[in-house]
Formats: sequence, C-alpha cells, structure tokens
Amino acid sequence: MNLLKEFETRDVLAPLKDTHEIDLVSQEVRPTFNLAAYINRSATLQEMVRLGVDISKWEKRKGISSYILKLDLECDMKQHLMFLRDQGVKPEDLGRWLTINPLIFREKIEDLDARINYLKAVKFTSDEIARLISRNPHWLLFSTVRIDNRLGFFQRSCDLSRDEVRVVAVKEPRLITHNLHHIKRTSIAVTEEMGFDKNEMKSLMLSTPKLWIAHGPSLLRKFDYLHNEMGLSHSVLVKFPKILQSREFRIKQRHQYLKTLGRAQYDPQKPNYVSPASLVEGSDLKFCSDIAKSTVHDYNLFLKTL
Amino acid sequence: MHVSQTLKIFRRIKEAKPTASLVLTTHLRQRQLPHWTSYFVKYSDVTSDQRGLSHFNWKVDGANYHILRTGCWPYMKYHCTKRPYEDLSVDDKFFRVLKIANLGIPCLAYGCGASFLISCQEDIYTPEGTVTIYFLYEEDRDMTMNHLRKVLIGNLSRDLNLLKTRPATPMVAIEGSVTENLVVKVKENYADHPLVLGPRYQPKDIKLAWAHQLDKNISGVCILGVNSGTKGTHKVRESQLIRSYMVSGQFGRTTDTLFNDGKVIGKSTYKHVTRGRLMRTLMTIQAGHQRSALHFLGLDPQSQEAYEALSADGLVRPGEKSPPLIYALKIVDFNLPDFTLEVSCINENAVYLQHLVHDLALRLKTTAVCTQMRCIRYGPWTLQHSLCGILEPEALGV
Repeated sequence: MNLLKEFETRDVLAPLKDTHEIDLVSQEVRPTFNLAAYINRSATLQEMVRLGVDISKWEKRKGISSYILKLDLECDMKQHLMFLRDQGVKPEDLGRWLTINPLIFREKIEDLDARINYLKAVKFTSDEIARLISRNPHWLLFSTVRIDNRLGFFQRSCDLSRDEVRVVAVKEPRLITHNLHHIKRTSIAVTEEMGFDKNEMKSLMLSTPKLWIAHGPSLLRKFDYLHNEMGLSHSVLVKFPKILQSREFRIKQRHQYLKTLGRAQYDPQKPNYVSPASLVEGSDLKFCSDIAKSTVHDYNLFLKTL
Repeated sequence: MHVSQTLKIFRRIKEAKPTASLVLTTHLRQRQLPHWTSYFVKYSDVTSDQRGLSHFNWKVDGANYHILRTGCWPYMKYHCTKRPYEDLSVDDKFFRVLKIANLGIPCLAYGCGASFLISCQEDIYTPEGTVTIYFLYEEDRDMTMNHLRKVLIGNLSRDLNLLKTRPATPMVAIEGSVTENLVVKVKENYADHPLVLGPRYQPKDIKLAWAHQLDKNISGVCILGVNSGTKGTHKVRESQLIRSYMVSGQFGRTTDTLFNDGKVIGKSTYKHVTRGRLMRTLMTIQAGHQRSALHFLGLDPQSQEAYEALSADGLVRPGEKSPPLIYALKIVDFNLPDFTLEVSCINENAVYLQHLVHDLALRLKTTAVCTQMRCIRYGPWTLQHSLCGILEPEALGV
C-alpha cells in the first residue's frame, strides 16, 4: 500500500530507484459480473476447478462469490477437504459436492466432528454415514439438535421404529433435511386426499421415501389418474410404488396405447396380465416389443393422434 | 451478460469450411441412417465438392442412399432416400440437361422460396467445424407453448453440450522480471474453462419462435423456428396459411368452459340428431363463411379486381386481419353421442373452435361439448412431417 502511495506522489519523469518496482505494477482488479475475471489470478479457485467444482453455479448464488474469494486454500479449505475425504466422500464426487455446498468452509471442524459423532451415537454405520453425507451435501450444515429433532419427527409422524428411521434416512438422505412443511403437506395428501391408511403410508415411506420430496400437485394428479382412470387399487399402488414415481405423461401415453390395443389389463387373476411396474419401466422400444407387442412405428403414429 | 458476449465473439471465429460430401455423410450418421431425409445447406457454409452431380448413389456405413442434389442459391438442397444400389448415370444426365435448358431459373426460385419456408435447423458436427442445416418442421404435445419452449431449449442446449464442444483457448502470459529476461508463455486459460464460464451452449443463447400460438388444449402440428429459423416462422405467420383441425365433440351436455374439463352446466337429449342433419347444418355454417370471406378480401365487391380474385383458382383469403373464417367443414366420424369434424380455417383460436361446436349443437336443438382439438395440418406441413419422440428400430439398425 505504501509503495502504491509513493508511486502516486512521485514525479513521473524521475528515474526509478529500483527497476524491480516495475514488476510489482500490474493491471488493477476491477469489479466484474463473474468469477472468470479473477480465476487466472486466484490459485484457490484454480484448485477448485481442478477438483471439478462448477464455479459458474457458485456465482449464480447470492453472496457466494465474495465469500469464496476471501478464502485461502491452505488455512481455510484444506482441513475441510481432508475431513470430507475421511468421512467417505469419494474424490471424483467432491467437485459436485462442493458445487452444491460451498458453505461447508464456514463450519468449524470441531462442530463437524460432533455431528459425525452424533450419527455414530445413533448407530449409523460408517458406510451409511458416508452415503448420508455424500448424497446430501447439506446434511453437515445442520446442527446435532436439528438433526435429532428431525429424526424424531419422522419416527413419530409415520410410526417408525429407530431401525426403520435409519433405513428411510439411508434410502433417501435428502428427505431428513427437506422442508418439514412440505413433508407434512405430503403426509396429509397421502392419507387424507389419496386415502391410504396409516399402515399403507408407512410401507410407502419405507419403500419409496422419495415420494415425500416430489412435487405435490403432480403427485396428486398421478395418483388421480392411476386410481380413478386406470382403476389401480390402493393395495396395488403400495405393492408397486415405483409407478407413483414415474412421469405423468409416460403413464398416460402408455396406458392409452394399451387401451386402444385392448391390452390394458391390470388384474393378475385374468389372462394377458400387465404388471403396473412393467408399464413404466424400460425404454419405449422395450415397452413396445415386450408389453404392447407392437412396433415403435405404430406407437409413434398413435402418439400423434393424442 | 459478460459470459454470453464472450461466447458470441468466440463463435464468430471462422474455421476452415468442411466439404459438402462430409456434411452429407455426417448428417446421415448423426440421424442414425434414416429411411428418408431432406435438408438445405448454405453455399457459404461448405466447400461444394459435388458440383454438377444431380442424382447419384452415396454409401454410408453399409447403407446405400439415392441422393437428389440441386443447387438453389443461397442453399443446396439434398434429398436422400435409402435404396439399394442402381445405375443412376442416365437420370443424372437427364436432370443436368433439364437444369441447363431452364437456365437454372426454377432452382433460384426454389432457393428464395425455401428461405421463407425454413423453420428448423440442426448443427452438423464435422471434424472440420460445425455447419448449420435447415429443416421445415417440428411438433407439439399437450402442453402450453411456454412449457414446450422451455423443454425444447433445455434439451437442445443439454444435448449440444454433450457433444464435443470447443476446447478452452490458451492464454498468453509474460513472466519473469523486467531487469532480467521476460519469458512469453502459452498457459492454460482457466477463464475459458466450461466449469468457470458455464456450459458452452446455454438456454439463453437459443432463440425459439412459433408460427402460431397453440392453446394448451390443442395438440398437433406446431411450426417452430430455432435461432435464424425464427425469421422463417415470422414469414409463415404473415403468409396466412390455412390450418386444419380434427375437432371431436360429444352431444348431450355443456360445460362452463365449453371444453371437456369444465363443470357440466346443462344436459339435453340428442337422439334426434342424424348424420344428414348434422351435414346440412355444417353446410349452412360453411356457406355463411364463404359469403363473409368476400367482405374481408379488402376489395370493392363491384370492382374488376374482386371479380378476378373470385374467378381465379384457389381460395379467397382475407387481405388483412379478419375474424376467423372457415373454408371447409367435414364429418370424419359420427357415432352418437360422439362426433369428429375436420375444420379448415384461418385466424381461429381454441376458444373459437369450442364455440363452433357449441353453436353447432344449438342449431341442432341440443347441446354439445368439445372433447379434443388436434391441429393436423398447417399450410404444407402435416402430422407426417412432425418429429417423433422415439427413433424406430430400423433407423437404429436393430
């Protein structure tokens, strides 16, 4: 700073005392719209790119750019990266992980250790912890108290045992840290609007916890079509929960096609039974040859008449 | 803002032009050897190495194509059909003689016409650079146009990014001290890395426009233009082409929205409706529209021009903006209480078609509701031209 001040006050035409001073003069850093302008000067950001972090996603989030530029690789980041590696986040996955959650560098290592210890205390195995953390990068931002409350909430609301809560959490790690209001809303939709009973809801939660983080209105529309249009009973849907996860237009197109062919027969007691699971599985090619027993050309022609 | 500006500059950098034959081969491969394809390529984008050839055989990965090639400035048109090898030298000579005899004027006219009709394009990635080719069609399924736009642009940019994209340009850096010696180095440029700048193709780089806004209740043909094709859609819209719809309805009830999904607000009997009565009513409606077509001609009905316009072949189309006009009404299917009509019209919209079904039923002393509307033709484009979601196994070589 002093040097810069001296440069400003000194006579421009006077000869330099030390020619090395010229090396210190460089283009000034100007305000910019994105991190790309700084990256060739910042070794930290370059290291992040080498790890596979998508910096263009960081700069879209408010406040992340200015926060990340102030960090230093050695003192602010190294420990966290080591910690993540030790907890089982795979090196090739680290880029994606940090793209989603750059705020991890704000947490203290002692806090992170305490959070891992809590998970060990509630009997998650180390493999399971690795899965929870790597599949849900936001997990580590939640304090032990909050995680404890949330695990308790799921145990109470769906009447699960401790083991079952663990199974659900490992199956869909994003569920536990998801917006609780949304979870409650989906639970109401499943029991009240769709009419599943308590036991059926529990088995849905155990088999496909992902339904609880799906888009609510679209889930309801899918159920309405499956139950009222295709005539699948609640017990069948509980048996084949995958069908509730598939996309709405896929179910509609395939069911209507089978209907025109006269093959929409979902009753296992009768001949020509089509399993609801196989309806949504596989590519359209496979669907046409195995389930509909027709050609893709005919299917395409049919789609154009919808 | 900064990013897209940089991208645009980079894209402007000219590369060596690939040959026309390379574009042909790459296009057929990229489309996974279709039965039939036809495209235009700009003269300015390629080096023409098939000049003088009009009809010839072309082998790609074991499949043989008959290619009809014609130069129609500013484009070259390629029409390819998958057929076994035949000797085409006589055909080739015949076409060449024909072209010379006509002094190439029809070819030029075709080129100018094609510039108006082109509404879709595709990039062909050859080892020597990207060439854009142009198509005439696109499709739609039951969704709103904005949703369709988002889906298409998202898919286009996602798939373009999966292809081999432009590598990062290196950076020139001067290192060392002024007092000793300075070294000029070419270094890896992180500022141009896809992880820093974002993907090479971004949704905001792709322009998409449609010739006619289809309502969410209408499915079927929908003409879309991508990037420079958006000019084409504008031309299509201006030229006031006739659209045909399959409109299905059901007698016996009416709803508050006049469409199938509304609340039922009235019921009535419909046993008295016969095919003949329905036909007669349709004729009345059609005749009324034909009379009113004269008013929207934009000419004095007593004048010579109006007489000539009416006596000339073809349809009388409105000169400027007009209310919806129906040119043809046909019964496709009549099976009480359901019926399907084919409606050819201009300047219509979904609400108008729904009202048409409603009014038709009132004239027949009953009520009806529209159950399905499908655009089956837009000017020269029909459902056959529309793109399909799934490739057929023959095309995949299965």
